[in-house]
Amino acid sequence: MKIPSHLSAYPFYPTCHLLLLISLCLTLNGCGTKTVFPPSATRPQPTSGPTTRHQGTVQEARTSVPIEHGRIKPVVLPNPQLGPAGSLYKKAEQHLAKGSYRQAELALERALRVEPRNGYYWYSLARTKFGQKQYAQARQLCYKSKTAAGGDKALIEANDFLISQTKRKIIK
Amino acid sequence: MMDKRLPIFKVFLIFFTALLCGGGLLLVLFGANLKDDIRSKFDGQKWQLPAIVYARPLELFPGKALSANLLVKELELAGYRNEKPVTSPGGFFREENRVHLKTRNFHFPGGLERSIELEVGFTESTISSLTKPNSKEHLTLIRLDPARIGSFHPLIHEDRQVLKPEEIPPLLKTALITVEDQNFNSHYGIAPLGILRALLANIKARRTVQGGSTITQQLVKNFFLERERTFSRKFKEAIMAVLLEYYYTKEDIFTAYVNEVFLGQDGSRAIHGFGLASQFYFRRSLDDLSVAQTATLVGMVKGPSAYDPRNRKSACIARRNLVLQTLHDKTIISTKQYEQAKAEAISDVMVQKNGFNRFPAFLDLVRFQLRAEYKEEDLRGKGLKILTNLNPQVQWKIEQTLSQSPLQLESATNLKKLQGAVIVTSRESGEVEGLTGDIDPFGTGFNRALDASRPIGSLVKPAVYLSALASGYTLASPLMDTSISVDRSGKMSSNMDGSWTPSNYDNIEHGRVPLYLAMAKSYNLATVRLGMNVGLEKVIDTIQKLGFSAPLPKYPSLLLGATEMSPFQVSQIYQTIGSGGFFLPLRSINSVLTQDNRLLKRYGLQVEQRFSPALIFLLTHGLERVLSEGTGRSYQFHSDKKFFAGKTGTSNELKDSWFAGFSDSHVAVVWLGRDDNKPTGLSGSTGALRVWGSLLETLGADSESPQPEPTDEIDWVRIDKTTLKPARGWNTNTTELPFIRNTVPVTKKQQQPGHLNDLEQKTKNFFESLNRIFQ
Repeated sequence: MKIPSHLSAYPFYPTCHLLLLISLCLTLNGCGTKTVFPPSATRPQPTSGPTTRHQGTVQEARTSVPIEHGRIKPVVLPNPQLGPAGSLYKKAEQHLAKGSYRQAELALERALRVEPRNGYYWYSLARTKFGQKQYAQARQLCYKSKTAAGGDKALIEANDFLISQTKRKIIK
Repeated sequence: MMDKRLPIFKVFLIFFTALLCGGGLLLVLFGANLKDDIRSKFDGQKWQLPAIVYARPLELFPGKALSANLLVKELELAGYRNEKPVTSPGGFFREENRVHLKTRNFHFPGGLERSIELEVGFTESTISSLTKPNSKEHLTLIRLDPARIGSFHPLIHEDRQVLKPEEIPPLLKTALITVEDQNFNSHYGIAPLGILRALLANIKARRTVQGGSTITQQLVKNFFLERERTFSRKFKEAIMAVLLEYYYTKEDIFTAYVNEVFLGQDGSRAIHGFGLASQFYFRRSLDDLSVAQTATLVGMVKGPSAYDPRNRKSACIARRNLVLQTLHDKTIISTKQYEQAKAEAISDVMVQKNGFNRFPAFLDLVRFQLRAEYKEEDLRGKGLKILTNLNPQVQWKIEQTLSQSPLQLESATNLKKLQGAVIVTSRESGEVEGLTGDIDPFGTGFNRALDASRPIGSLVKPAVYLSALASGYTLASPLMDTSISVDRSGKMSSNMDGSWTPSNYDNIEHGRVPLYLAMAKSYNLATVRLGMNVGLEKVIDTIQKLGFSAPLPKYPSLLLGATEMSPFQVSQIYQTIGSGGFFLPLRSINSVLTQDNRLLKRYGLQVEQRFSPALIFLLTHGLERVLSEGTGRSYQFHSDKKFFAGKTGTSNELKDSWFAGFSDSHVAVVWLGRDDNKPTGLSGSTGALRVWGSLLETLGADSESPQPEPTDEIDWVRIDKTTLKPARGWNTNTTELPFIRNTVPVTKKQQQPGHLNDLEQKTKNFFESLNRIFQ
């Protein structure tokens, strides 16, 4: 900054200026508000697929759906939200454990007729389809389950994991 | 020379022997010919059995929204008997707010569901309890056997329920043999003495009072031959009866007889066999019939019309009592049974009309969807069991609402010839729960729901707006609702010199409008501009992804719905929107079983996500606004707690009135119009919306389930209605809109890189001036 000529005679001018500047800054800092600029309205890329916000949280160590004796091991989701068709869901889980996929499918479709927005039933149906090697359909059912999951993180994560497994199967 | 002529008696002997041999030879040849006829028809499938169509099974659970009246109505549709006490499966009775019933065995795809007795308690219009009457055990979920709603009959219009030998009750067998053919177990098909006895009795009475035909002969007459009363037919019958006895066992013959015998007429449907007759006259299976009821059916064999319990009660009772007398005399029934049976009323139930198709339009859809996999003769002749997704409660509401619509639509100018079509599906599964193709619910002619291709008008606009949202537009994006002209090459201009110049419904240009408002108010000009900017190809692609597979015209007028679709096709499109972007093929059928309950085919849930939930959420919000502030705002919903979204559609000159949309639980499409294509005087909002709103308000979900919540990608922002930018706190000219994250509109200044707001600009100016002071 260039010191004006008429002030250059004052020896303490630079220091005073600095002090003035500092005090002004301090004052303004106390008065001013922090402004957060909203993000610019850039056009988002069209989403041709589902959102998978939680994909990054999936544990990479798990490399496959738990299999036991050639059948899908039941994934015990904590606190499944079961309604009037809860007994059918439980029956379906038992069928899944035995590898009786058709019976599981029938029970779950019946359960979904009673509670069409229960994400747990959709997820269970996805696992049934996985067991029947219908991987593409299993993935779609996971997407459906996620739309009904609301804020249920455990269910969303379980779906994301199964989706990743279906993708591997399809690639194979 | 001696006379060598043979004695006369020898001549006769030779002649007679030759005649006998010749006759015998002819008989053998004749019999050999008949044998092939008998074997070919008697072996394998003997009868063409109609395919039976069932509604969805009713599920009962505590908390279900269902009134006692509706449960009773469903039970009556399913042919349950109203009786107290309930004596056997298929019975029920009601006491105020409790219904006691015993379900019937039914083979579902997953297996046999056995009969269960239960008591259903109600609190207003909700099931409050489900218990087993004797143990008071609480039940959580019970599935009833489904109601039979129709059938696909063979061309000969015979109907029967085929019984196996072990399914024929002993009393029926004994009674039939005693009354119709007491020597059945010992003769060889014909009973010459019986014929002679009958002949003498008839000669004595100078009329036919006795028949000499055995059960075998009766079977031959009904099963193989025509009913002509000629000597040759009688002769043939006798030969065939003998052959039948030669090649088949008594059990085979008796079982076939029990299944073949004609026992009454139900309109165009002929009731054959005791299995169906017991259901038809008594709504009971054969093994549930009382002694009196068994005797009634046995008595009807001699003349189903003459002894018809519906309209020849006294003759029927007399005949029944004669049969009972015979059984008593032969000590087949005890004196006590005899006395009790004689005192019994002829029937304790109204005859159940199961033969005619109660929901013809829905059955059209079932037949259409089966045609791809089954030949017509298989549908009509193999006794298939078709389990559908029809919900009788939804169907009744559709019929009631649509049939009352001409009375309610006062603004229509030509109500008399008004026709309509309605389709209702489950929002989350795509199951068709109800369908009608005629104002008259029993109409069996043209099915408008499936076959009427009509211009859809503004119903197409959600596809335009969805394409725009997918291309980066937001609900707050400004559009120009100003005059436009489109030339043959698709080029837009405002010069009004192009080949196509659309206009708004009110002929007013609204200027700069936000996208959500253009959708809600169905502005044509804004929509055309938007669609042309996004690209016609993109819009067509969206329509096809929504589920319309037929080719579409690549003309700008498509953006305003200048294309024809059936209500069913429109329903598929709105199903994809209503389900959150998932394509779910509309299904009327759940599964098909064979006559002996083997699963042939299942039509299970198939889903395919075609649009992101976030985009559909935005579109759905726009469709909600159609009803809150747009073209549908004139309809006043009685409940403001329920969710409704949809789009009106009106074709040129008010020839077609449409509304398509969805609630919490259902997707529904309503069309009103005239078959002669004349104007109805109804727009989408003055016509179809009234029917739609009235219908959807009464349809609820089985259980409470919350609306799908906004996805994590959605931000709600309060927008200034004029600037279409985020509003400040003191601004009242605002509306709250959902945005996909990072798409909230910003000001012009905010759009420039390195921008500063006012305060920052002032601060910068201050320092610059400060700087100038110190320079």
